[in-house]
Amino acid sequence: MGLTLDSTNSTSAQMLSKRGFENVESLDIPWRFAPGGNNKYDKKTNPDGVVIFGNAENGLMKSELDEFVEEKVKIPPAAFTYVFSTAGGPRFPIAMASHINEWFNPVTPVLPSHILTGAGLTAVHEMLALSIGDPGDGLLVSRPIYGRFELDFGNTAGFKIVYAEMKSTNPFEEDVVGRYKEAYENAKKSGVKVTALLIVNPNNPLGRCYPRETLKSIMTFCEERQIHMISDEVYALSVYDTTEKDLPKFTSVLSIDSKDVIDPQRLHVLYGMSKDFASAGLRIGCIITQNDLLRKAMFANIRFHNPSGMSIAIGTRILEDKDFVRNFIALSRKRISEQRAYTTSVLEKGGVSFAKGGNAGFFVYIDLSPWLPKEISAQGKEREYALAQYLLDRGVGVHPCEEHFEKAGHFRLVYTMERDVLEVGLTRLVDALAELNKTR
Amino acid sequence: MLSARGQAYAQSGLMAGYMREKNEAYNKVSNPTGEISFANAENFLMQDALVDYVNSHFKFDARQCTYNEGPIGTLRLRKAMASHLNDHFSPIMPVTSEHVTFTAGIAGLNEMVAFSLTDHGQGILLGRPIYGSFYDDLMTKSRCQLVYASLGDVDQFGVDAVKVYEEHILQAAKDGIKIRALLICNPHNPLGKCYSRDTLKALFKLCDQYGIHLISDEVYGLSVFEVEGEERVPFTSVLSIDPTGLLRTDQLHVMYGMSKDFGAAGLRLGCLISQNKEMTKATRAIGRFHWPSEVACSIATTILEDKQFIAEYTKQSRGLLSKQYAFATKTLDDAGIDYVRNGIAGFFLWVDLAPYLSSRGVDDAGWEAEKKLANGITEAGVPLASGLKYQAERPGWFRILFTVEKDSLEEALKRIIQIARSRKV
Repeated sequence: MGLTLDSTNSTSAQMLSKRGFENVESLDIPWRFAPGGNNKYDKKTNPDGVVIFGNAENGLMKSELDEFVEEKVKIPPAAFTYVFSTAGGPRFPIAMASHINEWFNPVTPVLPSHILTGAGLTAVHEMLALSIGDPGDGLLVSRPIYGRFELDFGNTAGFKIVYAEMKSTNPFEEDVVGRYKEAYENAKKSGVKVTALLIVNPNNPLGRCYPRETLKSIMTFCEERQIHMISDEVYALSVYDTTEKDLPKFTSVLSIDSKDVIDPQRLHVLYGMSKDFASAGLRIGCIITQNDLLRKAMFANIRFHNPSGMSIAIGTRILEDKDFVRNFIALSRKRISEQRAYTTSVLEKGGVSFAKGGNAGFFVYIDLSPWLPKEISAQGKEREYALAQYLLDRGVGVHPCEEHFEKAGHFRLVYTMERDVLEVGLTRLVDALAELNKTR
Repeated sequence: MLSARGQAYAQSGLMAGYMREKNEAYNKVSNPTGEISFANAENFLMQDALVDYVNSHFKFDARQCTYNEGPIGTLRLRKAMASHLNDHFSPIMPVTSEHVTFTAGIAGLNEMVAFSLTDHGQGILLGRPIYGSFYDDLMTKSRCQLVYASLGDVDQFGVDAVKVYEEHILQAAKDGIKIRALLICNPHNPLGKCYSRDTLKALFKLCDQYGIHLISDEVYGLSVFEVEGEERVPFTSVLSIDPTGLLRTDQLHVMYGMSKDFGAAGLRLGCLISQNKEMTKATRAIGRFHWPSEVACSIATTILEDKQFIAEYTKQSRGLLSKQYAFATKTLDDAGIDYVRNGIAGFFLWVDLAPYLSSRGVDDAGWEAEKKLANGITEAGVPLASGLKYQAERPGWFRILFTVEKDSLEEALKRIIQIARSRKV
């Protein structure tokens, strides 16, 4: 009865496309996801669960958000329709532009039309990747760096992340350009065309702000190589006082005069509600760029990533209430700072060292290399997996190798959860490491 | 500065629709020349009912501002959706939370399904006319090929259609396109009709024979209404058909969501229902790009767990759909305008304005003429979809939306009839 075409697919896996199957396989990559998500610690309902240190969320501002939404936000009927929130809708970009102009000191005021809003920065990453690179192109980053970029730019858009070796160079000093140059050339030799460089500023996981001169040097490098410069500034306002003095504060690339430095057409800023406003669940992320053609290209895909009307209603109301924003940011900074001070003191007492110079973000980058198992071969990853598993078995969730640091044994420790949960987690961590000390 | 595909996106004109000047909405008293949009299929009739319910039952909780349980929807939400489908779709095998994966809207789900089932250049088969946005949704990112089955006089909803689909599968193979899936819209957009049980069984067999997936977009599953007169083919979910001996459940997938049956398009919440574990995994692997708002998830959970509300809402909705359908069809009948008969679901009518295509100066009542007529109607304040984008088999078809307020519907039809008649040769 007609030509039979491959009708004998025996396994369901073969029934997917190759690229579908590759995505399925990627789920099985060891430690692909931050551990503990399916066994989260809860004092009452799951006291033996895992304290998750690998998920960068600010859980310290819940009651302020509850109060604000309760009192000030009413979801309008229009929020249930399509047009209200498409690409952020008509009001949100205005509020966001105003917010950025107030806090980022841009040389050229940001216009609402420069902003494209999608359902989270993860979605914005994908749309951006699709429009600035072709499969196999390279995205240049320093190390250590937020580890999800390889999923965000790679899973569907096919980018390769080029993790530049820093060696002994400080990624926040102008010398970093030399490292970027080497990485760029090496990538080229192995057939990878780098089309963009991405920095996270303030940096994730190190929590440091880029000084103005370094930013300028990186921008100059990008212009020379004719590549895009993406500055992910999602932690921009989550900068606070710490015990270390004279650390650079946040400088947006938008506050640097691009004239004779970089063509603004290749400069793009990423921002959103997830971090500074402790509202990751709203799923609101923005790209700010003067490149009309890029926005047009990304807009073609916005139908797949439109934010929810409810989120836009809440997000707009927050940003339009500038007094609320000022108070919220001030309080958030204070609380993050206090949690950091507590965390670092516990770590110090427990003999755990961590990267210095951090005054931003929700995390410290801790050095657990002294506790890496010696009996496993020197292959870095296996030792780190083993240590992470040991800690996981003791209810501590840290994500091994996630930040692609050149030195083995470093982990990002997020400390912005409820204080009592943090206490439990840190105690378990220090105790677990102390036990290892005994067995040596 | 853009990639090759970036250039293609920029030139695709997909932004044009959003950038069009949005005019003030029609109001019989305060703005009688205002706009009545038929562009998006939304149920405006039930908006107040939904908003009132949400505002009185939904409580915001800052947990909704967290990453919560990840991009696939909370376990509680997936359970609630599974229960809803078990209540209303009569599945042979009960749907469980494991079968359900949520996404931030069905446009995104379409894209993910295409990505996971086709490789670049492989094909998805659809019968004409198609829901117009399938073209963009399925192809833009996945770069798969859409193959359209021309049915001619064959009833798309009857068993004879299967032969037509088979011919197209074979022809595509000859053209070097491997068909990987058949996508049906059931109830159908824009025709408003449902596939009979026998037809669905025959489609199961066809997909089994050729080793292809069957994807059923059942997003209007509850938006069925009663029509006086003869019996019409009721809605049958593919989940309610015993696949034993017909099709492996790994090859069967349903798409559903909150946009239509609950009039809640703005939530941006859709879901995949599939027993294929690999398919579920593949969707979840790229779910991060389509992560639904946790606030939306929470609202949906509240709605789905309130079965009494769903019963009342659905009853009220169906009553209104019925009334408005009757009003719209009567208006068209009185004006001597033809439309696809025997519709029983959805928010729209597929109306035939071919007799009104102008043949002055353009290609003889062809696609250019349809475009001109569409522009004329849009300029008269009723933007709407026409057959070209829907892969209609000949020019002249237009999608009327009857789920706007009665006054607006009346006015919109009046304008359409007026414009159409004014263009008749």
